[in-house]
Amino acid sequence: MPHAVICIEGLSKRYRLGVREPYGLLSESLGRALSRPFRRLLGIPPAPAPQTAPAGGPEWIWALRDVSFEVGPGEVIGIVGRNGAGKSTLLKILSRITAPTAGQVRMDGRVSSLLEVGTGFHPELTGRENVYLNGAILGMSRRETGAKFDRIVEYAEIAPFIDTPVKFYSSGMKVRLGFAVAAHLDSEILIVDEVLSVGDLAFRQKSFETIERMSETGRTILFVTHNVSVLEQLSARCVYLHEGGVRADGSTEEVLALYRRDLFGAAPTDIDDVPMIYRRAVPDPLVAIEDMAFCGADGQPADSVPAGAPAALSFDLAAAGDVEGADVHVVFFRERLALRSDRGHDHLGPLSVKKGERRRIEIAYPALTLGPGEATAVVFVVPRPGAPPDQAISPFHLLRLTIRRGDQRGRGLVALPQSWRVDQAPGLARRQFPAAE
Amino acid sequence: MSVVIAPEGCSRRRLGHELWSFRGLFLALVGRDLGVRYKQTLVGALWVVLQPVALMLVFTVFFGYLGRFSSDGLPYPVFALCGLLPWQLFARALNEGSVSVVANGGLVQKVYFPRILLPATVVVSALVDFAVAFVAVIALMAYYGIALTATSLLAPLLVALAIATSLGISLFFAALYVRFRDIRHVLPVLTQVWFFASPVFYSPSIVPDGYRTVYGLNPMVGVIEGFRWALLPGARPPDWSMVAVSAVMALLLLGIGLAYFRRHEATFADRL
Repeated sequence: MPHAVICIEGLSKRYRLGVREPYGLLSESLGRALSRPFRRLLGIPPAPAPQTAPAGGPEWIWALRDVSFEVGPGEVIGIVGRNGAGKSTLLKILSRITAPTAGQVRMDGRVSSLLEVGTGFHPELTGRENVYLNGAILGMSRRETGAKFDRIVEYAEIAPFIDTPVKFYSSGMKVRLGFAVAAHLDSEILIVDEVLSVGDLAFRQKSFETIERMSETGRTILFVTHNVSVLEQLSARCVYLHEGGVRADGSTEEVLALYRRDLFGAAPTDIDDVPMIYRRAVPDPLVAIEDMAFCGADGQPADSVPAGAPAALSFDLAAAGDVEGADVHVVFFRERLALRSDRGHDHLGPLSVKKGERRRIEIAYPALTLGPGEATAVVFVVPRPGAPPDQAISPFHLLRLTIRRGDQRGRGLVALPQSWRVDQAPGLARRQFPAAE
Repeated sequence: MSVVIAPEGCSRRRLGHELWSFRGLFLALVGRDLGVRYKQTLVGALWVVLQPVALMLVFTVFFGYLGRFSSDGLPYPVFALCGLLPWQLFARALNEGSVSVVANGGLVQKVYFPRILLPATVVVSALVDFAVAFVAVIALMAYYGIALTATSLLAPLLVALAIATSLGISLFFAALYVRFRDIRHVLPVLTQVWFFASPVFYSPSIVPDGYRTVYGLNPMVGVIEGFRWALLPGARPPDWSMVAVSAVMALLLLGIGLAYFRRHEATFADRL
């Protein structure tokens, strides 16, 4: 790794539970406050070091303990973890809002942090005034904000209302304006808390693309999000915080796989992917699905394959009774969205199996064109072509698969095999575009 | 540019250097304060002048006319207004400065900046109001045919003393208010007592000689007396030893407030 631009060493933060409780009354702690200098004089030690502290005691909680990692220039790192794992505390320390109890951080370059969209917006001020105020809060000079002002307004899509007090804005407009200012920061290091989940779908997509573009221009970005697909698409590396410590630090796929295992139990889970109706138990199934497996390009069973690479899915159907004219469905799900649904009927015609017989079905995919991330294949048998899944005569057999990034470019739920070319087009441009002001 | 973040207390950054690098935010916060104050009001910034003038009229009626308070031979309205202006500057900076950190809690918890900018913002916007309201003093002096003299050049010094006092106390209270919400209830009482302990509507000459040094411990005594003397020729010259005591007290309060605030500002975000 080249010289790290963020270097976090043994970072720990301890909160006193009492501090988080409602503020004390002056009279209650006056005595304590008065005695403190004398305690110090008597040499009673101040804050103990992390290891020796009564960490299990009821008085203190370690929001972060001994967190260390480095971030190289241009890296985009996602921070994941459950609520209370220390993600926000870490970002607050990196943003210098709160000081660590132990350890230190070194950061090289201009740092901007965005822990909230539209911090400091004042409802009585107009959009214009708030852009300058918010710009100053984020560390931009007035001249810098002025130079970017038109682009900010255009980005926020609120040009007609820019001189209206913000109190008359819809919440979506406020969020758009706040994010628009932040989107025009050009510091080398960006620290971003869960802000990609604001605004409507279209704006979310836009803000996502903005962060992506920032990462492509070599900015170092550290961000927290609960949106797993954003992480999969934006960052190659994730740090997983658990109870204040680093539980894992590595490639996004590996870290997210571990994170999901921790969240949903020991086995990799498909709860995230597959809708309920494809997960229910089927009473007295006529057909069992057995020995289901994915194979990679080398023909060996694999639970992860690169996007766009050859793959195969195979399984056995074992009939417990006579099956006549049935159909096999294979559906790929990701986050409850059916990416692709195929029916055996279209390839093999009606399926008939006598009681006690087995059939082996193999589906070869010359290129598995799913986008990187996790997906779950669901296989089930319905009694006749076109029957809905709730008439299934086999259990729903689920198999989870990780699609690695491979050498695919671009992003999205599916990969499209494609080739591009560019040619001289005949004629001139039909319309003169007005020059940019 | 390299930043090192270390545990509280280990990273005493140089305040002056830091304030300079955050000057843009400081100006923006002052702009916000000034921009917001008179939004949605009919007469807007005219209130800056109307408030002290209205109080001056009340004082003139009750203390000057009915109460027959001595104004050291000056026209009572001018006497009162010259006391009110520095007093209001002081009281506003004190009251708003003391709650400034808690009032801007959202900002404190989401953005880093030297927290001292918050009470300092209050001081600057109070100072702007003071400057505008000063027009009323000039107008009133013109009405009574009193001309400004060279001594008025000393007035800014006395204003600085008022600011030092209010900033010192508001820094202390602002830090304390983060932890103890009692401050909100202390402030109105303190302001009221302090008002009567300052020669706003009366002349300090009514204070018996034996108590003058103790009286001078209130920095606003020296400030208001000096301010009147600087502006109004013919005003009683201040007791300079009393002004000196006031100045020392003001600087002492500023020092204590600043030290306390700096000691605790790192933990504001954790305690809000």
